[in-house]
Amino acid sequence: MTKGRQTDLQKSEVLQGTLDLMVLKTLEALGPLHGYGVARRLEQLSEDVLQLNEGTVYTSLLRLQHQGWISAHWGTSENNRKAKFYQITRSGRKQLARETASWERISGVIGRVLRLAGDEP
Amino acid sequence: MISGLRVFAAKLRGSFDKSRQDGDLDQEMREHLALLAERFVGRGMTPDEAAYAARRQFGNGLVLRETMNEMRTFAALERLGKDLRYGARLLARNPRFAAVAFLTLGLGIGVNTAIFSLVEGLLLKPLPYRHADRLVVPATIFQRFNSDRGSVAYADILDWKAQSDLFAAVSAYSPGDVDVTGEGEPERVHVLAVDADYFRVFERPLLIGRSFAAEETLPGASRVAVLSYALWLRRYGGDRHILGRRLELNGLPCEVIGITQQRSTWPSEGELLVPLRIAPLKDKDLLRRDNHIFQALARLKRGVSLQGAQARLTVMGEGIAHQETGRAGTNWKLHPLAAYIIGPTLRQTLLVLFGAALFVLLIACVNVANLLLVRGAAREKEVAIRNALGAGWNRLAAQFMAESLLLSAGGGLAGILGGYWSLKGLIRFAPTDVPWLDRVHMDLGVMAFAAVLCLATLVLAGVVPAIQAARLEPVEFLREANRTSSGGRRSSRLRGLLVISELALAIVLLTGAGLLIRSFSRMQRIDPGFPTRNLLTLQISLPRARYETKPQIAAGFDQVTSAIRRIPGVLSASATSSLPVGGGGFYLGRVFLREGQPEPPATTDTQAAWSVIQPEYFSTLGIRVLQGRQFTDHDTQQSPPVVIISRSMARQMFPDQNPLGRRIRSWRDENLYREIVGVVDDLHYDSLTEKIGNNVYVPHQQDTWGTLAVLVRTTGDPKALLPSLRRQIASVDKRLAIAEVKTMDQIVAAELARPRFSMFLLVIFGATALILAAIGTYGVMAYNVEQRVREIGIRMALGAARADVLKMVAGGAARLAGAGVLGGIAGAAALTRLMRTLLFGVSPTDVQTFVLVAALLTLVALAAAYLPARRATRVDPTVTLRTE
Repeated sequence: MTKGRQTDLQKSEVLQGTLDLMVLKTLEALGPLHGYGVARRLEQLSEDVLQLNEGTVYTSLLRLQHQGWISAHWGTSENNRKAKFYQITRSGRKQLARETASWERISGVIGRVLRLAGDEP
Repeated sequence: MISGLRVFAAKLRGSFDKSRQDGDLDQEMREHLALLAERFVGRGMTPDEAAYAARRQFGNGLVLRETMNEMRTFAALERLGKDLRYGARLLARNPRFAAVAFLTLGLGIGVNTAIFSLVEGLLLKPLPYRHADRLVVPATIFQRFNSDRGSVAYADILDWKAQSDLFAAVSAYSPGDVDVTGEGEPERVHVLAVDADYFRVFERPLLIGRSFAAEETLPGASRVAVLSYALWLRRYGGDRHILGRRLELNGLPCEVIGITQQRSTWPSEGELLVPLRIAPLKDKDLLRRDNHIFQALARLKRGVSLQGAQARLTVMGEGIAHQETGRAGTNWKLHPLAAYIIGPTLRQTLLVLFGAALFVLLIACVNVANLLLVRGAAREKEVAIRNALGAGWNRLAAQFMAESLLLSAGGGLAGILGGYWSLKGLIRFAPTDVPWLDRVHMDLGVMAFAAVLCLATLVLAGVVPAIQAARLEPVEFLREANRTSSGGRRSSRLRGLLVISELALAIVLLTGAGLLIRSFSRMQRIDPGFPTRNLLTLQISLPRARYETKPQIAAGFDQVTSAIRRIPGVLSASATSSLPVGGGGFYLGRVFLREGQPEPPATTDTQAAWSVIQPEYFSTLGIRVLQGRQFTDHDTQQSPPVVIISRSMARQMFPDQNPLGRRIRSWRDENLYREIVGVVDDLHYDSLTEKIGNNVYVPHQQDTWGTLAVLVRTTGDPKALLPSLRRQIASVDKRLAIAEVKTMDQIVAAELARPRFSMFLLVIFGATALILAAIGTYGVMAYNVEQRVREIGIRMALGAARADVLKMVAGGAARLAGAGVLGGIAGAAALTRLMRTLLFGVSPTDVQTFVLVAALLTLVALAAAYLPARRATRVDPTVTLRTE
């Protein structure tokens, strides 16, 4: 059991920061959502490129909650069942703006570097 | 940082409503799975297929829950709590092991906290005086006496006072005793005659009143005194109206002008401060550089380092030693006050004891580590199975560590309790001349030290066994178990190593103890030079107010001793200015010249201790008169000056001649020719352990002192005669104070009190080490035999004789003991050098001690191995093999 958990963590570690950013963006774009909704949106957007255990969405939601970037409250889902809804907070929006900017900068740099390397004969 | 705090706060919240959050998560997960499954059904799956696919897409719910749980709460702490509870259950299940481990660690930690309390109180705590780190004691270095704590000349003090860029203040003082009469009982108190700068050295030490004005230190000024806080409380009940009142000191009136604050001055035994009345310009002798009759105290200026001040003084002192013949072979030394008070020997003793205590703790740790290893080996099966089931080794090691944590914490508690009681005992039985024992407490610093020791024991005793026990490869275990041979081969090697180190540590301790025992027995065998039994001493001062002239004083003392001689049970009585064996009085070293001898430089002259005595001194003490006669009542102020010298003095000054009838003088001091009328046997004058020096005796009638020590030789227990002694002395003068009543046996015992005490402590440590080492060896050997029962059974079934088995087991023990003894001897040879200053007449590498200790430890180790070895020979092959 212990060993199983360890490998699981390792797999998600790669995704962790990116996943948090995507979840935050989703909540900003679509407003309050429950975990299932977030998972669907991610699935839809990633066009099956990203294979993730949907359970990890919840660890991401908890991390964001700990930082105070999203808040949670119980509500009723589309099909009238009790569900926990997550909503981006003000500091979450600020954080998203910062993260987005730095992501774009870094991915731009990495992209340029990779292209350069690729051009070499 | 801030995000870390946020997470911490969230975790704190999470820890409190864990169950609600678990419920929330469960509900979310159920909902999520249900929605996923609905979606799959919508795509045409059967409900069962859909539920399965949903679970696949979601991932492992159990793992998720545990991960989230860990994120939400302090899971590591919770695990620790669980491990501690588990450890406590394990310990409770094996109370004998727990008791042995607690006791062993408690012993080790207790010994250390007690000794550390002493070290802290005596060596580490700052002195109670203001800016105490800048207080220094300037002293004279006398190369020929191998001393750097000599008293100083007044001219030196004047030189130092002139160095205003080095010292904020320099003070001369002179300690003594004075009889306080007037109100209340007559009482003798320690007095300090100090100059006006004394109060500047201690930076405003006065509680009320004022200090001495410069003109009050001149001869003929009106008499004033400052009371110490202690005397003020004790004798005058803390009466604030005492200022301006008149006391009687030695019968002379004296006005109280001030009270010091509590513990604000040094030497702290000085209860009364009076002005040091000197007129250096009038008194030429006082300014002589070789007249070392004062003590000095100084305060370094802020920003001046001790080394800097010392460097300047050394250069100045060299110049003086060069110019003044009487100062050849001397210089100045600045002692920090704290170091001066404690002294190098006591400091070294404390450090040696501290080191020894740490060794005891090390041995205790090794023993507990051994016990834990054995226990770990016993749990190999459990560990192997849990390991095979997937428990990580670090998780298992953490669990073993939790158990050790319990042990070291429990041992620490036991140690603090034990240390508290041992410290009480230590202080109670400590030699009375150890300063500052009232500053020794188990305070926060000691507690912190005990906590550090607990951690150290945890690491030393717990880590290796925990890793060892947890790092078991299941495969290896199963293979070893299948072979039915001895289990845990690696751990048996480790246990052997522990036994070796334990024996080695014990050897080092026992060697130290052995050296102290031997040097103490050397000290005890020293012959003081006279029979010490049934000899009582006491001190009497004749107050100058009533005994004004020298003939009056001499007559007064003659009356006192003859009154004492009339008591039934008194064989003889006499009086002296200074008692043998450092028993008290005034040690006066003087330089002597033969008649006609030219005045030599100071390094080659004949030195001797000057004692003033009454007639019958030698017969009372029991010193043989080798040549000539004792003093008699006919040696008076009117008769020719006479002197009696000791045998070694006679040999040094008159190597091949008869000294009787020759004349000598104490050059630079009395400077009066005295005729030698007798030669007496040598005796230990200054202290038992010093080598015998020269002695010169002169009659009290011809050199009259106001304070003498009276010696009384009795037929029986001298203390029984004390009431009649007091009556007889009172019949001469009922206002005389009697002080320092001691038997000569007590004086000799006090001389040996410090070495006895450190020997006693080190012997206790050594014995503890020996017992622990024996237990450790026994435990390991017994365990080894137990592990090898099958192997031994097979060997015996194949024809091995009992003797072979015995040889095999005992041989293993002997190898361990041999390695331990060798290591121990090497360690002892390296470490006993550090206790050189504590030894007397024994070299730090005394072969006899080393051999004896090595033999003792080998014997003990073999004895501890014998029982298990005998058990091995009793193995019955048929029984052991049947259990296969």
